Amino acid sequence: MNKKERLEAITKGETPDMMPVFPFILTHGVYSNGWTLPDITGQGWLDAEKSAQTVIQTVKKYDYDFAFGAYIDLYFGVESLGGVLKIPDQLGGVVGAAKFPVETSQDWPGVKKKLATVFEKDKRIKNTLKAIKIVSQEIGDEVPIFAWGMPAATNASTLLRVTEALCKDMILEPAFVHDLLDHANKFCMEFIRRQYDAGCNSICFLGDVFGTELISPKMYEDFGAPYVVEIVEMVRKEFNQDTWLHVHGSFFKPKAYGILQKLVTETGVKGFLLDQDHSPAWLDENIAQKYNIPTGVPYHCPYLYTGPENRIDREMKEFVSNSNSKHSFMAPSCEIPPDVPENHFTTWVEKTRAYSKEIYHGN
Amino acid sequence: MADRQELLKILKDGVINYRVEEVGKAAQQVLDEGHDPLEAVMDGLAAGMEEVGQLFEEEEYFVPEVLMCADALYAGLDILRPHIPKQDGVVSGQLVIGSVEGDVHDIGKNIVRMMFDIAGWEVHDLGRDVPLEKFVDEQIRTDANIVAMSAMMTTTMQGMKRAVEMIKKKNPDVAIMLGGAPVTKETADIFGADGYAESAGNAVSEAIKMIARLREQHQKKQ
Repeated sequence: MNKKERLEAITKGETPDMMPVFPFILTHGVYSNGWTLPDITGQGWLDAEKSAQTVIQTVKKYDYDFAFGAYIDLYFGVESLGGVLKIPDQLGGVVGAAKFPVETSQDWPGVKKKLATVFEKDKRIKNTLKAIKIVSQEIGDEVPIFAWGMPAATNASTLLRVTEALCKDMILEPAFVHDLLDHANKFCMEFIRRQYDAGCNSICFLGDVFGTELISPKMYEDFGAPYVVEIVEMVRKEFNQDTWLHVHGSFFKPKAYGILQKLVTETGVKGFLLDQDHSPAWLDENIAQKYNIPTGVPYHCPYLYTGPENRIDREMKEFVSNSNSKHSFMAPSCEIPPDVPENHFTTWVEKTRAYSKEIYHGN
Repeated sequence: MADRQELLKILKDGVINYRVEEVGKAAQQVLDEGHDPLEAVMDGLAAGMEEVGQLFEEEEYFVPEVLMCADALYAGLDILRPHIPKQDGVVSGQLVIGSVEGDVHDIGKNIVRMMFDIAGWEVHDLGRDVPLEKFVDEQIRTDANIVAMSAMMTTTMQGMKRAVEMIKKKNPDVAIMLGGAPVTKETADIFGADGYAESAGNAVSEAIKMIARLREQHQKKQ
């Protein structure tokens, strides 16, 4: 099977030739090419060619199955709205914000106006879209290239206002938060549209940190799920693609698990990547078998960093054995640390493949 | 005029229900009426926070609620703490705390900081995205017993390893505690830390154990 066929197999519920791997490459791709973040991006600029190479070179090096279209960081748009970026030169996975555009509610009207032209003015966004064009031309025939987005609250926390303030606002000023989230979600959807226009050819993958790690299931029904619905419906209607959701938090208890149920049955989410607290066996029983959808098997990122290799080897056998053969894809629990040793990364990918071939087909 | 027990209840309930103004007023009333500020902190504010911690464990409260409760707690603590005399026999010390370089998340760190504040420690909070050298410099400046570092992202976690090395090189007797969502005990051990805070709730007890271990090692050397 090729990479696209593997994706199709786990979508349809057919055992692939081996478990596909989606390493969620973000900054790791930068460091893997011998760069640091300041080599690739800064306040008001981003190198499209280098951004593209973070994907192209790592696909070639590690031969993983699904990719994003470019180096994706989390603070696109901030500086165009009046914020200030922070670009770590040694540590830190992604660009951050030294100053957010909306420090108080008084800042919001002016920022709202600037949002109207952010896609025309922001050079980091524009060059990321150029990078996606390069990637899709180079490897798009072979590799499913996922569009990337962050639903409203997560997007707002990386575009508009610091997470802690947003959390408190949800209790103190919910109407203000909904106004921020409405606009953040529109930004998210427009960014997704432009990624598809630039050449993304596969599912939309959403990253959401405002799951139960931060907010209650009740709050998620108010500040989370309705915005995911908007994105899912747009992606389906305009691009005929599924949306998968990577969401942080624990979903074992009934109220939290109810959120997952609603996300599938009412919101239309067609795949999940949860965090490392959810074992392959639990994911098999409660997601893959129950809903027959692609289900990420999350390997805890720190173990990719610390290793050792034989631990990764042993755990890949265990993970593959305990996961659902028809719907699973291997993924990290979240973004891979930039300086994961190459031999650990390679072992992770190779052993996932080797054990899945053996366990699925006796090869 | 509320009596002592009523004031303790107002403080406790005020923290649990994040009634910032009410807690502030009650704290001032404790002082004005000559009640024991330490009792007000421990049996009022801290008791409230203990219940908040329980609600958090039970997944009734989440981060927004805990942050609001923390605001209420500090509304009282900032008023009462200056009036609490140092206690004999109570294990406390100085703590340097911060989120490591590259990490702009500090919610968890702030909650841990709060635990140490309640326990009467002197806390030097470096904030978020703290350059690694600053942990070293601040520990030397304050002669803190413990340096606590937090990371919320797998990608910033690596900084902890370097920071531990740098601190230990300057002062091997300092205890270092690590915490944060991607950090595990195993990672903390591999990085050379002396302690690991699985949650804000156990951070203080873990810190006390760390100091006890260090004292034991120090006594053995002598």
